Amino acid sequence: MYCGDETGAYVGDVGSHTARFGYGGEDCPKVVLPSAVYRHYGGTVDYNNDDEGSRVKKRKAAKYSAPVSLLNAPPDDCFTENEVGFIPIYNSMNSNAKSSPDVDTEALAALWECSYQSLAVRDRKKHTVGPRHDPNDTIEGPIDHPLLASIDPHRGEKHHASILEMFFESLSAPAAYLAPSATLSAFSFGRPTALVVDVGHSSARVTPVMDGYTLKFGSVQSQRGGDWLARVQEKVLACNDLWGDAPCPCPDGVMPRYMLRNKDDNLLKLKILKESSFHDMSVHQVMYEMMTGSHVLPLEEEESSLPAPFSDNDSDDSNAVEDEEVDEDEPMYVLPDGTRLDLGLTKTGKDLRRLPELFFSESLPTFLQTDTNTNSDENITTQPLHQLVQHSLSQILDADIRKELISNIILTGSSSLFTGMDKRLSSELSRILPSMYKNKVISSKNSVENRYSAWIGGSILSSLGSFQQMWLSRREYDECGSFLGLQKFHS
Amino acid sequence: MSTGVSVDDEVASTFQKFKLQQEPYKLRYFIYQIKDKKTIVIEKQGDRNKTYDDFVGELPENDCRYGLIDIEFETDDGRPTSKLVFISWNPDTASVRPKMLYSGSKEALKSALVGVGIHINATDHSELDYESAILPVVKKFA
Repeated sequence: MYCGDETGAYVGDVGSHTARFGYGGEDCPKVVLPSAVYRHYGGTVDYNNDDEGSRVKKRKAAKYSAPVSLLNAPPDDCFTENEVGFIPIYNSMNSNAKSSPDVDTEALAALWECSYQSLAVRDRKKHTVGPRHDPNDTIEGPIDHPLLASIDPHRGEKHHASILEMFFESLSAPAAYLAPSATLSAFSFGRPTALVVDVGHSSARVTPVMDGYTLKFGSVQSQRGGDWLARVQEKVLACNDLWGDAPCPCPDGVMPRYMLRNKDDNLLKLKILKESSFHDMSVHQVMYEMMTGSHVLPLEEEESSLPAPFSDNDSDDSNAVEDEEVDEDEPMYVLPDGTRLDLGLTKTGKDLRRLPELFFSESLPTFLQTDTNTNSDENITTQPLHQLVQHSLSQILDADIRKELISNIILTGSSSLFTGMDKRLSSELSRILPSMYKNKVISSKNSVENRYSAWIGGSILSSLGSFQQMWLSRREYDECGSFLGLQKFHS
Repeated sequence: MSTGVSVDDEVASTFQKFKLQQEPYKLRYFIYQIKDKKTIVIEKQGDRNKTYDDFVGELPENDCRYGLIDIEFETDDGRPTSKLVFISWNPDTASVRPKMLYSGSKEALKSALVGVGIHINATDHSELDYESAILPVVKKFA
């Protein structure tokens, strides 16, 4: 920590599941929020003081707040007659909700603002030593921290320009910088040239980084991220066909935690919630907990002789298998609502233990194939991870670059924390890539570094003394606007 | 994207003389370091009689450095020749901060070392091995 760091940077990495915020220079983000905001309807209109020299805009009538956790239903004033004001920042590609490609910048600005509250970013007196004479006397002013955000190169210039605009207009930042998250992750692993495989919530992304620049033509995405896997698990638990003679464990769908806590709430409220993205996110929370439970088997290094999980086979077989191969340790998992899943008894139960295998399975089981996503963007596929890497590499025509990328593959993202994933990816790649390339998959053993690698990269970058000249200052933005301002980041 | 680290003037001037092998810069290698997180300076230099293994020996175990070394070898047709190789030493055992700093500042140094065509990124000692890793790459450019 260096003294006088009131003007240290504020780093934010907003993903599709969580948003990470904190001061630059620290080792991990202090604020990790779900990537969504509550919109409160009605109530009082909230305006900020129009001080001389203060450039904070008047807030609109709708007030936003950040959900700290999804355990409780949203507060009452978020509900209108037929919908709830829960706005996820990035609509997941898999969701059935009408997803507009444009991000709601108002909601994004609100999320940044809400993160300020926990860290007292606006409080200019936070570094004064000694007791305050008046505990209510905190100066709420414009921030004097430059803002660094990570961006996703897939989203296009317009989106990045609108983020920059949001920083300078709504958040009145003194300076800003936007960096691609793949570059930040690559740098934080110490490699300016690498193939970054980021298995996140909404998608798995493979981005080649060359000397700090992300190559657009090699960047590919696949739907198979953490969100997809959670939905598969949810479907399995709710689908009657897969459990043979027994009924499926969750005929009405998996019950999220807020339903257990708020059982007494009025039925209309619960009904509205059930159809909203709040419900989706809460169910995913439960599914994520299940995916990381101890019953999940580590990924084997070689593709095993067992068929892919949930693949079709004769229903006669599944009963025969039951008697012989009951697992010794009787694994079971208890869902939050008390439903007990005995995973050693049926084939489907055993397959649930091998869930991460689905990242690499080439053909999908039939009950998933019917759920094709309606997004016709060519860059988004449903390829398994190793094929996605191969696809990305095939777009790179220079053999030397390809060789260098293959020997520097970085596996990052929270959904890559399954045990054995890096070794499995490495062995699958050795199988499908030409044998002259020796692949090397690097992943951090420390889960904090994996989940927050882009944030950590941004934190360190912003704290470098030499970096301070690279910021896009307010004055420069005023002169050239957002699109030209973006060009500065590419030099 | 770069980190804004600047290159010391001494680096550029000594590089010119090193290329031409003028006295007193008739050397085998340079090791560069980032000082105070701001400037790239020369940390060590090795005499002409030192070898590649001496160079490797002078690299720290858990910290990053840049190296510029003049490698003498024989091409496939038997001609003796020498090439300048830029090595970026970024071990996995170093902590995140120096790794980030050195990888982001590599471009700045590369642009100061004009005319060096061979760049190698090494993250552990196996990637620094003369016979298996360095020599094949160098020969390709010969």
